[in-house]
Amino acid sequence: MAGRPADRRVVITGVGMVTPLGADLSRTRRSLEAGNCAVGAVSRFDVSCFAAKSGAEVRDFDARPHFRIPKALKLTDRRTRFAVAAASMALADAGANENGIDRSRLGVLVGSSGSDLQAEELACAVREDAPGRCVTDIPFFAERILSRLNPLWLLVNLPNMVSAHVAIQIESNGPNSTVMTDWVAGSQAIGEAFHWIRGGDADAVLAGGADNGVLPFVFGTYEQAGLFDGDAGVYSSFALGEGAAMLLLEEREHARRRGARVYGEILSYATASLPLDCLAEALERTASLALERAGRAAGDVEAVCCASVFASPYRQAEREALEKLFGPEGAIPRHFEFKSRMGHTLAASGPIEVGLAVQSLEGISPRGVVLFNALGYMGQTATLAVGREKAA
Amino acid sequence: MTPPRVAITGIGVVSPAGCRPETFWGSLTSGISAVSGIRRFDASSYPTRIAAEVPDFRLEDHADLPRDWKDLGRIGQYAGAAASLALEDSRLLRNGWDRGRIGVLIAAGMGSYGHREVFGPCAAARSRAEDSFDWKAFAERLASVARERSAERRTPGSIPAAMARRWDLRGPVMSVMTACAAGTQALGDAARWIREGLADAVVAGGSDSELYPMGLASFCLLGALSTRNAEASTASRPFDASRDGFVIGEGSGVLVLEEMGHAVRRGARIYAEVAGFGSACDSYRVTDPHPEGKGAVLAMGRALDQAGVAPSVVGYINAHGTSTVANDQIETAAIKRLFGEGARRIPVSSTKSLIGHLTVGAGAVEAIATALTLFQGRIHPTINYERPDPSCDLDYVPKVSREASLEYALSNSFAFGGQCASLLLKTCPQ
Amino acid sequence: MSPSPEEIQARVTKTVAEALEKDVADVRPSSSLVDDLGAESIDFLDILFRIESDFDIKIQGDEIWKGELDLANADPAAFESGLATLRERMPDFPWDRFQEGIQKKDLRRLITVQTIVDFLTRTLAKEGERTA
Repeated sequence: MAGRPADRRVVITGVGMVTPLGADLSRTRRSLEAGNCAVGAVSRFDVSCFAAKSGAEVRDFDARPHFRIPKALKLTDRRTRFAVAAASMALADAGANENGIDRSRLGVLVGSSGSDLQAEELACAVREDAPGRCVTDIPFFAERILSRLNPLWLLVNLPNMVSAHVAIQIESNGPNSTVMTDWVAGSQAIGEAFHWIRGGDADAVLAGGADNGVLPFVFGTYEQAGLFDGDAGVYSSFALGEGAAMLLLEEREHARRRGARVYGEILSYATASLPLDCLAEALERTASLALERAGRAAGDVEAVCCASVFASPYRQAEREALEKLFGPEGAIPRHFEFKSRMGHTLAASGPIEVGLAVQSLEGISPRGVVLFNALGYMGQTATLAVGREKAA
Repeated sequence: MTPPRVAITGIGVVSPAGCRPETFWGSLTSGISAVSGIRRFDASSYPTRIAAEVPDFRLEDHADLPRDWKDLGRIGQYAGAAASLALEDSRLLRNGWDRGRIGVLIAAGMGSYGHREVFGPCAAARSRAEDSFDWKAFAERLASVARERSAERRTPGSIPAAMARRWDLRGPVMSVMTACAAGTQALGDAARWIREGLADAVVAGGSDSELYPMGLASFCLLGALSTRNAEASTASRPFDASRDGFVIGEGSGVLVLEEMGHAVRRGARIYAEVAGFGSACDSYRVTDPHPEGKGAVLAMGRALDQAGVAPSVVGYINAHGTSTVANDQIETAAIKRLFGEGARRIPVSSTKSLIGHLTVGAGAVEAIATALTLFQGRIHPTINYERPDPSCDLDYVPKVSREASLEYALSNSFAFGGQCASLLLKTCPQ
Repeated sequence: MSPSPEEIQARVTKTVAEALEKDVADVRPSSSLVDDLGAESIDFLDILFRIESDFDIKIQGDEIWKGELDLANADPAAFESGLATLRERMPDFPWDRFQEGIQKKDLRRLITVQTIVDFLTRTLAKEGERTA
């Protein structure tokens, strides 16, 4: 491995994404510029009985062109298809297909908060069961499921298959894992991949997040957890979304040698998890740790992408944390914000936000820092610090 | 500057072979099978009716877990108990160490959704023979079932969050999920946190229980499980010519990983050092493993490279050894490819022969077994190894445990999807 | 009344094509599922499930390709004679792809679209006789 950890720096050389605003990066950007909002009525299932009525769905998406082995499609759920497409687009964006990234060492790390229970398939297997004998009569349940359910069900349900499918379709044998820490999983994936490269476990990693929140079980269980408008509504106007973003992270010299275009540099990463009522403290902690590790000061922060945008106790906590570190809210000149336009894409949100923000870092000074916060409803937080790549 | 070294200073295990290290290790080295007929639920109409269950687990026995820990479900309960045991074993929290430098990294299975919560709504949605899915009925039933549960969803991510809360651990907190490789992955990632300076200590491990109606059904549908129901204790027979699939186990392994200097300064007992970790993906076909174990060879090789040692230093391999026809043959081929002629001199044993396959928890529990192997100087056997298979021709330590003074040992875990993880442990002279 | 052989052929071809993401035109009776159509172990389970659903029958375990797989347990003489039977039954199969002879590990590669069609023809005819 070239260089010792302190010498190895990590840059972003490719971005690919599938979002409710557009099934690829350029369509997403055009949609943003046009002022569109992708939150609307859910088309996929009947939401009349759920408290939440809106969602943000990906449209006009064709996964097939991104699958080198199309046979794998039958084993994929939506988030996996998004992830494979985003990964393949990130590699193309990075020019990796033409000029050499050693695929045997290319790592893959995807963050995802869950997988698809495939309710319709399960229901089909236990159909005509009134009044629900399969719930209490296990031998009856077993007989139904074993004779009627597609045997491939588990392979679609396993959350780690998202990372496996990405690796298979792009033909990489590098280190491979799946982060599952709920909403911060995608941001953690980028931070962990940063350390994979810094520590010498890989020279290049496709890192990001993929999720599908527009599912009946997600709508139902989030409602019970009080995450929607309603009695305990923690978020208001919180709309569930779906999508994926994958970033190609590369060791800086590796990127230079192949003449790659660099979007920005990952300077540092910090993550923590405190009780929910200490969220301000947790965000303050990860933001200040990220700055310290990046060798920067509060005055260097020129832009921030907040985790929470809707009026809520979460927004309040984040405001508090930022004020404590940076002074009144106007002190940070630039704010990036995407959730109000595409809903909350769960674990994909952090990577989507980084991927979009780094498209417009002109104006950020050489020592300037962009902070990206992510938070989870159990008190998890993660902060990434991104900078312009310094001149040689 | 060399990166920090990583020590294992505490272990906690909740397993079919017991929940105290002495009981667990005693059972393994005595070659006692923990597999029997399934008691957890009525498995009479399944083709596979055997498993390795955790006997008599009671959350109340773990006094330092709060009562509402119950709401995390069985997987969370096992993990909490194992973490509590590991922390106690390590004595890490007795001094005033900076909690901001202690993290949590847990791999947890997905099986915490309740049977009623899923199948109540599913049955309601298709209660008639019509083709359409009745979303209204589905949602109503889901709402009424979910109302009875606590607000916090039982996601795998909720478990390390709960641990961080319980013990006020303010370092990094994360959950990973690489299916059957996840337990090993969690330890490798935790070791990296320490080497990269993100934490001085990490409570790390894995937990799973797929022993519930849908869990068992999903593995049966894939044809992955042994159907040797009449002779339960002989069903898990890794590397044997008549093996016919794995046996589901359940449980949790949690370890305290600690920066070596930190551990030595406080006089901690050190079971072993985490010398290296490697991860790779087969990426061969969609689900068929690479016939020569490409991912396995890469993962093992990377663990050795990270430690800066040659294959010849490895004195023992704790195999993934699931007792499936494919894995055992391919793992053998991979070991031979990496170790060459030396492969036949390395004892290889499978913890799964004794306690079944703990899926997401396996890598962590097997890492504990590997650490104890180094610490106690004894290798546990592969039981039920009776008829050699020509394509599995290594020394599998059949039937009887063996004394061994070892320096390095490898622990392997491989997953559906071709993800491979390998952990290299090193003896730490006290 | 059980479906005609032509109908069985057409439906099996369509099912295999869908499961393996191939064009129907590339799925011929003598096509080996493994060598010509890229099937992996999981695809055999998938195809079995789809055939069961489509024809509304239950197939026990590996019964559908028993003829090929049973040879794994045969003694050398029975193995050779079993292979001879298969050669007679499948003259269009590209036997010459096995330059170095056929071994027990190759048996899965002998399973063709025709294997499935023949099994269904036999089974559905029996069903037809029973219910007639």
